[in-house]
Amino acid sequence: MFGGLILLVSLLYLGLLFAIAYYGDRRADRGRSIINNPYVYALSMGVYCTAWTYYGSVGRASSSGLGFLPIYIGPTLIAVLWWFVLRKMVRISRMNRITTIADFIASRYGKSSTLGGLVTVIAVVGVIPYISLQLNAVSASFTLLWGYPELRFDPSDRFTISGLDTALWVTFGMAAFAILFGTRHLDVTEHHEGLVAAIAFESIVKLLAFLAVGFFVTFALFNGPVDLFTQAMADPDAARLATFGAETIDYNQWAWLTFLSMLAILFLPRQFQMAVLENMDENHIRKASWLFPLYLLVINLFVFPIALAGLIVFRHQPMDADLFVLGLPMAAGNELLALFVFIGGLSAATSMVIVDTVALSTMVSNDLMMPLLLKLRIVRPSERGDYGGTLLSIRRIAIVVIMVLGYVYFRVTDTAASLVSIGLISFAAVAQFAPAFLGGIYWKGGTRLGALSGLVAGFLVWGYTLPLAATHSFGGAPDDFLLYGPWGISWLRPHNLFNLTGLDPVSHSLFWSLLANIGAYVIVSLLTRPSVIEQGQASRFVNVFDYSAESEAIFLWRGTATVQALRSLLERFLGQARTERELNDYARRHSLDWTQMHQADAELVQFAERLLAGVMGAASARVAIASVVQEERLSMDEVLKLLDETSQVRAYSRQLENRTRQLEEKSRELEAATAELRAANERLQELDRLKDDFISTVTHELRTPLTSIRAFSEILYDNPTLDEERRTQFVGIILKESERLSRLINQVLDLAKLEAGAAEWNTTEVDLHALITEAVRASSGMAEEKGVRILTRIDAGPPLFVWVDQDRLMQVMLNLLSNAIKFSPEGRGEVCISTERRDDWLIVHVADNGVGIRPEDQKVIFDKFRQGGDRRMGKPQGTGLGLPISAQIIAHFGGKLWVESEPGKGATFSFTLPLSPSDHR
Amino acid sequence: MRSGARESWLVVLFVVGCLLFSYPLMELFNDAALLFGAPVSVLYLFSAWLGVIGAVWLIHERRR
Repeated sequence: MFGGLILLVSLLYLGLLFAIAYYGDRRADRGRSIINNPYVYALSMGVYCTAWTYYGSVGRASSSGLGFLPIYIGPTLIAVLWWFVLRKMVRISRMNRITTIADFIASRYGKSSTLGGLVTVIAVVGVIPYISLQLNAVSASFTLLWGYPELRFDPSDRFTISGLDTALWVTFGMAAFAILFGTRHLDVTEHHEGLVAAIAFESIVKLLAFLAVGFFVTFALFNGPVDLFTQAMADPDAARLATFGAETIDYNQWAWLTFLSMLAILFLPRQFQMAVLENMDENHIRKASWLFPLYLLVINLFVFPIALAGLIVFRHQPMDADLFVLGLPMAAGNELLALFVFIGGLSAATSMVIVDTVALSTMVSNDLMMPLLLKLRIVRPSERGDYGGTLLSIRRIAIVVIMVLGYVYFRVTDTAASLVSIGLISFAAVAQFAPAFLGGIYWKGGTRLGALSGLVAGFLVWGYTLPLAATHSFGGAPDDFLLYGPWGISWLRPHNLFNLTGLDPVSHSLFWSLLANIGAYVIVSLLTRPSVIEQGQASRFVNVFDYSAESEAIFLWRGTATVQALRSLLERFLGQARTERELNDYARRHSLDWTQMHQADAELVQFAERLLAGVMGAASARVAIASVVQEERLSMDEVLKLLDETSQVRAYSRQLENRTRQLEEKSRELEAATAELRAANERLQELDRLKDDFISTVTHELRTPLTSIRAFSEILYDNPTLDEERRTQFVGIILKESERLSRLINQVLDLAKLEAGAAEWNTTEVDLHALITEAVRASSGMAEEKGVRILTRIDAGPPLFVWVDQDRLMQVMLNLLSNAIKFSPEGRGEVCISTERRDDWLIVHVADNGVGIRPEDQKVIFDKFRQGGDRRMGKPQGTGLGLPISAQIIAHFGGKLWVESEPGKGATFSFTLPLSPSDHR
Repeated sequence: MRSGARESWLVVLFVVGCLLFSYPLMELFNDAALLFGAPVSVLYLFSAWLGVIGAVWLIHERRR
């Protein structure tokens, strides 16, 4: 009765999975994906935890102590690097429409169907022990539960309950389930949304079931973890399990297993399927890289406590430690929990079997059988026929064959072997992909032949040291083959190659197989030249992040094909409806009209190949395409040129454009700034020179009066007996020179103020005529002294007002008048002041009848300290600052000061002033 | 966190993680004695494990 219940619940559970998958697919069809989030993504990776984790970890812990942990620590560590490695794998797979890990490796090494086939064989052979592990665990747990309430477990009667071999029934049951579940769709590049949803759900079920039994054992059978540990550690044998050492696990083995599981999490076909192919968004990797390790940690929390509890509870009772998880609730009489635990184990096993068979059957059909059928011309793409169905049939048959092989392995190897030791054999097999795979995405130098030789070498060493050796050890007892080697050759002993001792069988196998694998891969790669297509693919894989998403196509192809031939090829593999849809989409994208187009171009051929690759894998698609097009081989030079042009140029052109634009802008800015700087610098230098000139001139000008003052003072000082007349004369000179000095200093300060714009201006409306009259009166003394007449010719009429600073304008007038008087001939000199009105301007002229100013001096006299005439003619008669100051003042009023002169005929200084607004009449 | 810095931190964390779970450091805690009711070795492994996960979380999720 209880047996019937177990079956019923199991079937209900599997039915629920179907419902979830169906729901997931429906949601995806309606564009509302339930798996497009990082949480489902991380949970779907939980497919890593199979019956091995569920049942086997406890078994492992009860003999090797903490030796069950490296299998989960390794993935945690590599998950730290997922952002680099996994993201790259995802990107490459998406861009190349990769369908399996075999497809990945084959694509990388020039779409080689040989390589794809080899990887498929290794994957299938390698995963078979793993599948047998699931069969083993499910049938054993089923047998144990079937016997409830009796707790009898005898390996020998496992196969013959009610005259039936349970493991065989489980095999067929699971195969049927996997076929129904995994081969519903043809195109494998489209996400299996329903499958992923179901797997994520299974991850939750097995986690909950395991936590349930963990809590039950720790808190119901014992009084919490402290009680459990205290009781267990009282026994020295159990206490040893909590330490590292020869009896449990040594550090050497620990390190090897950690390393091995790092590779396994990347290259197990089901992990590749879930983490790479079913990835919906690269950014999900961020969350997954801590969520997935967290899942591993939580599911492992109770492994060690359950193992210790099992050792205590089943101290006097024979019980396979791999079944403690189920045995403990059964022993406690908790049948409901036992049933839940069984379902949890079933979910762990089914998730692994489903995903692995989907991945492996796709590999077998796409990367092994299809290329073979195409090459043997059993499938002729150029002939009529529907080959989509053929692909599905191949996959279904492959699933049955794989499951049966798992069963066969289970029967021919040691039934007493622990679950973990069986699983590790598979880990070591998929680790063989690491060199070709990682080398393929990080090293352009790896070649097809290198990858082939590496894989073959590693696979052979693995096969000899692990699965072959496993068939020579029954009931834990090794036979002569293991003990003494084939034909007694001791250095060929499978667990001690070259007489190496000190390593456990798995580490030993891993070391030798990877040594052979990496060695062959690297050396052969270096010795061989990659073909044209290999080089192209190497670049696409290694530099995947340099390619933009749009630059998918590199047209490494030149040939002719008709659109009709391509269309019928596609129809045979994709079906008519989908072909029609895809081609119409393509035509819309490229604005083509199929009725006008008969000859396919390279891009269309590439497009068709990618479509086919999504169904049958890259290598097969290549063969299929080749059957309908006449290819011309490209020469190496042409290809290199194409590669250079397309890949590199395209990859960098956008960056370059941006950079160039930025640089141009920068250089423009820079040029402008440089010009400004240069101008500023020139100006500064000019100012600096002017300042130097000015200072040297000023000091020179100051020194002249100082020198005379000093000289005459010394004379007076040294000759106290000097007569009165000379004395008065000398003191007069000193006085005059002192006056000149203070005037000079005042003017320098005045000029400095004017130039700095720091002078104070009291601008008012000033009557110009009154100001001129005043200035003339002030200068009359000086004029009389020299016998010079001053004439004013001012228009009679209303007073003219200007808007100026009266004192400043007076300063200008006095300066001009004194200059005119100074340079007029003594006795017959004549200075004439006149004003004239021109538009809004007033012009004032001050003319003399002196020697005049030479044309070359007419500009210079407005410079500081420059005076007209020849210096040799005698001592300068002014400070040389009067005119520059006057010019500054007039400029400030908005006018202009200039001179007109002919030598010998006198000079006329003129300045303009704007009329005050009130005079604008 | 600057994007380049995040990548560097990940590499550093990987190296630190490898050290935490290998011989010399593990030997320091290779002891079955009970601490807070659990063997020291178990306590060490699980807390180091949690520490690495927490660090990955910190690097990826903080100040994106």
